[in-house]
Amino acid sequence: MPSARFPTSSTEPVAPAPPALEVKGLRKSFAGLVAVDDLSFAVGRGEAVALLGPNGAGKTTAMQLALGLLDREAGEARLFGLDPELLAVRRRVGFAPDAPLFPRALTGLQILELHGELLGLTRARAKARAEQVAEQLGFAGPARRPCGGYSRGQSQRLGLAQALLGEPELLLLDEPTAGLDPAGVASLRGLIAELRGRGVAVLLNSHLLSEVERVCDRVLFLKGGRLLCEYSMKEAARRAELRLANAAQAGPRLAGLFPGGELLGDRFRVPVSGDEEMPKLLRRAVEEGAEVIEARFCGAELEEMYLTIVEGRT
Amino acid sequence: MTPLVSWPIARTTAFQRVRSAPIGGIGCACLLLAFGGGALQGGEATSGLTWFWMHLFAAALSAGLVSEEIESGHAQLVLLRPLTRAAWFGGRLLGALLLALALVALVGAAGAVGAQLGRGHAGALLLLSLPFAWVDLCSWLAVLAALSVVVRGLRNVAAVLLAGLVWFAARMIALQAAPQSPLVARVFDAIQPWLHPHDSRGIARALADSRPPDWGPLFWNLLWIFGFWVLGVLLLNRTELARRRT
Repeated sequence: MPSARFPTSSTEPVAPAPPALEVKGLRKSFAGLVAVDDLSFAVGRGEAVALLGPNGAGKTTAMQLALGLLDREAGEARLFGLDPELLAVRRRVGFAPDAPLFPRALTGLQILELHGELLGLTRARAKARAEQVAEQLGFAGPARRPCGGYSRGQSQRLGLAQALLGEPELLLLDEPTAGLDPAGVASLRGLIAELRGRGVAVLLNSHLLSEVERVCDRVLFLKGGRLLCEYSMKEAARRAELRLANAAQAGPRLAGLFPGGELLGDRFRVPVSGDEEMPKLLRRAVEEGAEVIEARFCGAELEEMYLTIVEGRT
Repeated sequence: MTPLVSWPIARTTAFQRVRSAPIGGIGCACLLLAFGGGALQGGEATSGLTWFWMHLFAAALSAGLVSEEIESGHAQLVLLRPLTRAAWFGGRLLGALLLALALVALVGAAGAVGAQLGRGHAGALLLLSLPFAWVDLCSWLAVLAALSVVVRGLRNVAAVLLAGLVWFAARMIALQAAPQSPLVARVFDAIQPWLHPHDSRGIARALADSRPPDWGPLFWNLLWIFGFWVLGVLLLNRTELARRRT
């Protein structure tokens, strides 16, 4: 006899899990100035999405609206299909604000322990987790000192650490690389990649296009609070670039040989589908008499896209 | 059920505030005064100048108790955790109340040591008065903590002093305007006791003298603590919702 609680019919449709974050028709203005206007997007589980746009484009406001830190004038925001105000939802979300400030008298570890306990960890577990995250973000030493003496980068790391503390399923990072040294940027990049691999959804707001290129699946271009366009990094053509000593002679020959190839000054660029194409390209170029000084991948050219889409440059 | 008080917030608040130099300095002054008072006079450890300095301690403790966290933005980060605004405010207030308890206990100990060294004995009144002194301090702390939701720094203390001055001026003006009317004086006298926490240490004196105590001031002060706790939560809700709109 079929159970009433557990349907056995294989034809019964199973509702898909809602995205980690979904906003529809968001609108917010400050003193008559529209900061976010009719903004809709979603971030799926295990997906990393970046918000790109000039200062004042509404990126930070969009994040704060999604989290319920600001009141929406219109539209709705859902986290895991639920109201962001629900306490149970907040346990699943981590947020690292831009330029966070912490109580000056407390050490980084004490602040992390506090946040850990607020997330429901026992005191001992919160202490252990705080030390683990501080170590992971490379500021175990400064974390033992009061926050009053922190540099911008150290405060930023502490902000990231408190966001990661509860092993969130959705992570919102507002300018996380601001103030970080190159090692910090590199470790953050690795961290985001690792989180994505574990199925964590990441919404990233950054001006560092090279990092966005490397870690994000999709990019949302914003300007004046509106979504201009959405761009999938997977669909972006990856290109190989060869710097040639004899570009004038070899360049036109290579351009005729490789479909989609183009010569820009002394650089020859050609779309490639994977790393394994680079040695073949190099070998062929040398066979054709090209004198190669440098060879590299040049990614999705996000900067060019940004300038074209957001700044309107051609 | 959602807790009314967050214990981690209370503990962190106490730790955070006790590391403040002015609070530590005033606390040390209280202990020295209690020790001296105990050695010279005996009796209550929380009397005279010590009592005044203990109120200064409460004032310093309450300065920016809530507003500092809101202004720095740390409150918003904390409130993104599974924590209600009421539990957060309750935790901040409880942290301050626990520090006041520690001060009262230490003042009692300093007074007892002083009395033992100076006079050879510490009376029962010294210990009996401590819980009532704590409740009195707590009632003022609750008022100042609620005000610290809406004003920064020591402006909460300034607001209380200003309210007292306004009341005093209004009374003087009314009595000057109607010098022959005993009704005006009676009205002011009738209202005045309801405008501030009361001194409940008289209960300790009555108990020490084996007289029946008047428990009214104690209950009145407890009412002030819970009343201003609730007011603080309401003010925080209002402030936070207004911040989200603008």
